[in-house]
Amino acid sequence: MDDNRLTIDQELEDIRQQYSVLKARFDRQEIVTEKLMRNALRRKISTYNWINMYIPLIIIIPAVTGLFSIADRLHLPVWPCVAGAVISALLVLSEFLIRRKYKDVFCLDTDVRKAAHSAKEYKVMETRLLVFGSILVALYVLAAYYSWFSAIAGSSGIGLTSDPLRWVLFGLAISAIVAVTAYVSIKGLRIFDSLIKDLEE
Amino acid sequence: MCSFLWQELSNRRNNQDRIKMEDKEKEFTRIVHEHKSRIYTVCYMFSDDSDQVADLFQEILINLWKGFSGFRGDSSISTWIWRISLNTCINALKKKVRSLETVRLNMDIDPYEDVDEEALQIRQLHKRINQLGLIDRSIILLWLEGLSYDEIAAIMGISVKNVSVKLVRIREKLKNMSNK
Repeated sequence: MDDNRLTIDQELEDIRQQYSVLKARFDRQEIVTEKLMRNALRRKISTYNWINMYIPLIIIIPAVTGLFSIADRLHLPVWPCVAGAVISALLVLSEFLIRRKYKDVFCLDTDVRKAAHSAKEYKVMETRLLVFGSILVALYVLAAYYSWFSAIAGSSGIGLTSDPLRWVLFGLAISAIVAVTAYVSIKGLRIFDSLIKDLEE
Repeated sequence: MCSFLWQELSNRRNNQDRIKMEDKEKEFTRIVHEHKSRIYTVCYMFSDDSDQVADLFQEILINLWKGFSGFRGDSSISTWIWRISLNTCINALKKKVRSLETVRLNMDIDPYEDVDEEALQIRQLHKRINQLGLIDRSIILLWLEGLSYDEIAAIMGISVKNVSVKLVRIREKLKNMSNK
């Protein structure tokens, strides 16, 4: 037993020694510290999270509002525009509320256990939002596609319209819908990826 | 006249804000310089190469800066730095998210590449500690820094008793590693 204790102590003593060597070495690190410091101070406010969170508002809502006015002028059903805006706003609002609730994940000045716990809960909530959001978006895509396609096809009487502006509008609508779907999918893949990593651990 | 006064007031306010910001930056720079080896050590223990050390170091600096205005002094400055450094590194390793825009540079001292006796010792330490889990790695780092069990418990968010139990287990693990 005593021999074991001696081995453990010797082991820790070695590690302590190596640690002090490491710290002394990093004490001498000057040039890189200065450069990193300058870069960090230059980038005082990171816009990454902000942009990531408000992407639907920045891109989708103006696009949908623009489409609304065109659709109205061309006598197409306007509900897909309204529904698109409402869905985007709902998703952003939910994301905002979740982030506010789990701010420990982003506010790192908290103990390690609490931060890790909040991070896990946050991921679960994000997954729920993602599943709900995906179902909502899928339903929206189907309904919007059906409604506009029938309106455009119906107007020509033979299934196709000769009005190019209507096709442009149709293309824009589909692009907006694809953009929302892509956004939700990419976010989902990231969340699932980190959940799988957590499970592996 | 009114617009002149308004401009004068606005200039004065801008100057005061600028001076405040400069003071804040100076204070921040001083604190980082004082604790830089501690932050580098955490980064080194959670990284696999010197580029990643620089990336993590910079992410920690950004997080420290973001939290600097809100730091109320409830805990000591070193506890605050430890928490942010450890949480940043653990989060970065767990999430593997797209990292913030960082500068690419070679370190003046590269423990991964240098071949002197010191560097060899450091690599041995890295190899040993890297075999531990993220939480164990954090606890042993705090212990090596010479923090009391109370301080380790406060940073990690666990009880003092739990710290001592975990440290015994970590010692056992380290011993088994050296036996292999």
